[in-house]
Amino acid sequence: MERLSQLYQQFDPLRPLEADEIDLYVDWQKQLGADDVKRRLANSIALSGPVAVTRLFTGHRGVGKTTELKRVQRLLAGPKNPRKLFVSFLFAEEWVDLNDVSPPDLVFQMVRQLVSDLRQAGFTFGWTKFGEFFREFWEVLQSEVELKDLKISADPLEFSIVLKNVPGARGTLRKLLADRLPTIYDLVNGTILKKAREWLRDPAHGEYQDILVIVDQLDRIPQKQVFSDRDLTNHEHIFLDNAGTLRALNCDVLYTIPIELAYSRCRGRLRDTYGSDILALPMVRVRDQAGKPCPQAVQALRDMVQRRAQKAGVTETEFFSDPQSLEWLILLCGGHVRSLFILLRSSIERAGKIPIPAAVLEQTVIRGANDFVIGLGGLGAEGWAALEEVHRSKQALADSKRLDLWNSLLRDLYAFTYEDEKEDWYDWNPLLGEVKRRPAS
Amino acid sequence: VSAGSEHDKLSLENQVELEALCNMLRLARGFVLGFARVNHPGLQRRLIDEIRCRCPEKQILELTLDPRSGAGIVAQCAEATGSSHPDALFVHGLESVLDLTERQSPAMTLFNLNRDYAANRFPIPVVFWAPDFAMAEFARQAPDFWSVRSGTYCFTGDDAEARTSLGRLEEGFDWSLSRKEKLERGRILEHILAELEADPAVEPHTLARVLSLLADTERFRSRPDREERYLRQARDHYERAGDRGGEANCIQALGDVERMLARYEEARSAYEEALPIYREVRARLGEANCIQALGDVERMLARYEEARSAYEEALPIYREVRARLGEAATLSSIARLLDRRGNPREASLSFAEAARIFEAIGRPDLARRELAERDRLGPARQSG
Repeated sequence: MERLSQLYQQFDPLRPLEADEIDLYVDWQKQLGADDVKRRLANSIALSGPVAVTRLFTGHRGVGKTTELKRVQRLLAGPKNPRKLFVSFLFAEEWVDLNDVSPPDLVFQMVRQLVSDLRQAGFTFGWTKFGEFFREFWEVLQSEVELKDLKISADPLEFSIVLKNVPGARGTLRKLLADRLPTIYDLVNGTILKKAREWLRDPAHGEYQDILVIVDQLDRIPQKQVFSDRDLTNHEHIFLDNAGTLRALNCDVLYTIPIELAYSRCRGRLRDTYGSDILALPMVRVRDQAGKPCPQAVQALRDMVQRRAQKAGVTETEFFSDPQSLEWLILLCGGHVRSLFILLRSSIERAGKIPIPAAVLEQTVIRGANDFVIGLGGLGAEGWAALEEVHRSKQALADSKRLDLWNSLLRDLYAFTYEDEKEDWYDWNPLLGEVKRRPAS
Repeated sequence: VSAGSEHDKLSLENQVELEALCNMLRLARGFVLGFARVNHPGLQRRLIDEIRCRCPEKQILELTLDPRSGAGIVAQCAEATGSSHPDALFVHGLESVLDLTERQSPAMTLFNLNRDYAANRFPIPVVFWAPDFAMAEFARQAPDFWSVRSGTYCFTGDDAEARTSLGRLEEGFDWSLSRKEKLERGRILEHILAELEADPAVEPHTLARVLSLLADTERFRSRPDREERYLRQARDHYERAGDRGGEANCIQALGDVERMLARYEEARSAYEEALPIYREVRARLGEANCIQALGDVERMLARYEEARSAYEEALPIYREVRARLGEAATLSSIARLLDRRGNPREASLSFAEAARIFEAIGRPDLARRELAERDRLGPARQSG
């Protein structure tokens, strides 16, 4: 059971790979000769020179964005990069209420993360000034009736915890920020970043040429309608209306953005506003547009599974009783890595042993397909018809009346995005094909 | 439970699902998200008892979410675990924090945004036990959480479980339910229907009951085409089950659908088809309801004499079976006819009598309505 348990742990759908887990990482983009998104991201930042750039990155849930971002961080902070960057990584879920994101809050958190990371690296300049600044905030927060019982020290870290967990504090801090944003930006851009760059360039401190802040998990911001008279979503409000705020820090910044925004009517405006195309991590293209399997892509995912299985001391032949099984599962997951891991975990649970019999895999796929039927209930006949249209045409739903539906299909993994040498194209989640092929159980 | 009666034995399909869930508990070494889909509370209890038997080494903590608590789902889980270290957390009551009248429930939005926190806070399997509709809503409303599930385990109820659940669902199933509750019961019934339709051993009578209740949910939602479809199916199953009374109820309800759509001739045909069946099975209340409905149709067709004659036929039957609501409603209908026929004095007396009965059976709202009608006729006529 212990070996089986180790195998089970290897396919945890929640855990992204750390940058140093090179034994498990499969560079599928390189294997496929595809446009390597992480290198494009890294290059677009590394080659930007002294002018600060802001880049946008997207991809489906569970496609491996965080895993790739950790590699971007490693590439840019590594010694091989001629413009070696000090990278500060903000996991937004931990610090920002994603249901109520305001761009100034977000920039405040980026500053906090950067200050915290610089301090950890040993940089000490300017803390007195910075501390004074936060002390002022602290005094105002403490004077608020609803916050007076909270013990907050004049430390940006504690501020942030209060900010996320006490809605009253958010409102107060937002009011403070609204008045003092220019001061914060001046302080960070004019004093801290300038001095930090000088300090970081010192070989004793890493010989970094510049600074990059990566903000991950903003793709999880739930979409809402705001300002209904302007037909504007919160995504558009944050990333377009407030692009100036998001670009206020004078250093390179990389944001993840929601996939439904990236593939929306706003794509062109986002490109113009941020001066660069949105980079998307696509699915591993296990089939081409005509539906023919792509052997190299299948092999890349097979490598991914084999490496993890080997880490648990299990070979592919020990894993599956039928040699065709793994390829079948790979094709059914549509190149979506997390879906593949979920199917594998579920198969292990159902078999309770290895090798996993083909009949158990079949049962697992039926269950997975059935989960989609249950979830699809909310989309109704219109949803099914739209998915069949996407599957047939390999195109997005273009008409504006079905924008909400298209957003749901992308967000909830009913429709997948792919890239080939010529263009972006779309298809349904192949498990839906199984639903069509089989009676639901 | 394993050594229980024949009825307590789990079906082969449920055994397979249960073993998968037990394997998950045995294999997990950290946070694992699972969903156990069960539409029947009785079956759910038996399954959890069985899991405790099969995995005695696992300390399983059960928690029922409280929708009235100000705390979110993660906070309620944290409070339940406290400083203890269970091996798994089983969460009940997911359906209670959902609100089907809203596209997005605030509790689910918050929950979805705390995925990583929850995974760190609970390094154990967390299994949500919920009916199908709640899992579907979870998938839609908390997609970040849903996308990291390890497994879903689907347990289906048999005929006996369906009948027990139907007993619960039928309780108080009328207009007075909140919209949220009506929608929830409707979704549960849809899934129970799907389960039963896949079961070759299902009793036609059980299927008919589910379909009748689904027809009710559609009536509450003013969707006559769907209501009619369910009623026709229910009627067929009652017929197969040999339940003439159930069949008559469906036919009468089909008449009600026609009447609501102002297709009075079709409505009358349906009532005339149902009436002899009620008489055959000596269902006096059904008979009275049917006659009263025929009276309503005649009234809508402006055939007032025929209408009055029907109401006067229904009235003594209601009195005989002591169906006071029907008696009052018929008196009210007679009063309206009398008023229309230019007989305010008798109309006023009928309105007053209907009001007195409504008041006596605890329907002051209807009593007020009748008294308002009486007052409209004028004080002289009331006293005269």
